[in-house]
Amino acid sequence: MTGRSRAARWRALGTDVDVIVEGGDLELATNAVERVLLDVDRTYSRFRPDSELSGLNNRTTATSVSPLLAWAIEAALRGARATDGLVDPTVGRAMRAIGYDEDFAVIGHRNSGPVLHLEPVPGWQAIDYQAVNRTVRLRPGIELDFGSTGKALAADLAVAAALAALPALGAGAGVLVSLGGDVATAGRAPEGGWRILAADSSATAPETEGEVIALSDGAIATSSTTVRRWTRDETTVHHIIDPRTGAPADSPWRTASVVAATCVDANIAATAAILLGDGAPEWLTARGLPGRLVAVDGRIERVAGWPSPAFAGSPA
Amino acid sequence: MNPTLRTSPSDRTRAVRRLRSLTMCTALAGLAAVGGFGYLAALTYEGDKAATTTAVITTPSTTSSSSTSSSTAATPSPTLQAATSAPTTSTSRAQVTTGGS
Repeated sequence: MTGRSRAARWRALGTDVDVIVEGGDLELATNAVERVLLDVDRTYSRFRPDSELSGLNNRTTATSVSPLLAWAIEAALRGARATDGLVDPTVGRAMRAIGYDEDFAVIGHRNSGPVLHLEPVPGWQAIDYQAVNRTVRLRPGIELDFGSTGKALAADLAVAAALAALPALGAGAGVLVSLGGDVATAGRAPEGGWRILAADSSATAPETEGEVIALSDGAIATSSTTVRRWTRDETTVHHIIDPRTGAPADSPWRTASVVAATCVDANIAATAAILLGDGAPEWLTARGLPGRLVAVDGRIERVAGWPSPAFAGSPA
Repeated sequence: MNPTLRTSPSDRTRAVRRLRSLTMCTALAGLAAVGGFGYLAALTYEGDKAATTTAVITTPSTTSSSSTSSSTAATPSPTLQAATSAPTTSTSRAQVTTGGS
């Protein structure tokens, strides 16, 4: 028996939140997701001066951190280690230097701002994190930014909390949580799987004609240089920083979507794919991570088991 | 010279014996003093003892120092985990969109 899917959508963390519940109570699930997102915002928002992360970024002494911030740091370090430092959480200052110093809703419409300049990225090895007692010490000048992994971790935590909030009924329930295109699933998938449209921007309506894949489990995340773009000093920049240069990545790929067991791993791989450039297909294949890479000219490369397209929706 | 202090051969023999025993005692006392002072010096001089301690401490101290500064770097690279099931193509309408944000 297939349960009925119910969906809710709202905005949080500066992005769209989608929750879909299969065979369970939508309100219970959305309440659980809201609680997680509130905790995430209070704990590791870079744009809240009162967040725990903002406090940490202003200190150079060893600091004891909350379990949630510890998870965020561990996820970020996992990304750095798994990509040989390509996905680096110490890009905070470099990100501010290119003008991303407020919520994108503000800077995206700002006509003037700080003069564009580049800051070197200190590198993730400059984070002294002790997991045993959850303490972290940053060298002077380091600002952490969990942009690459923070939202994905929030999706993983939210979907787990939502499923846990649902009473076990019959064949069990299933939940999908999407935070701005970072999609995590848990529990029983609907018949035929969770259906996801792959696009450059998460703002693309799901019913738009395009490439739809189905997931029975796991997660999918997308990194793209086509969104969060803004202009400073007559130069267009975007939010994916290459830690080797401190500048926005200059990649042959404009968008990378990757399927993995968790949204954190999917996001790490998608961001790494943009930064790896021509080496991305081989890198994803070696790790068995299905990926869809869209070149700057629109050419699409599918690797490591990403299915061939069957366009769906309402062809014009 | 005092004429009443005439010495006999036996007196001379006694004097020679006394001089010999005095020499022997002085020599033994000197040896004993060298040994005794040497022993005392060995007990109280810390130089070698400290050098040995330093050598012993160096290894764990170095290890501890490097583990502090590179604790985040020392862990082996993690493997990104693939989903249990591969994605499949769907011809149905999508429920959500994955894309940059």
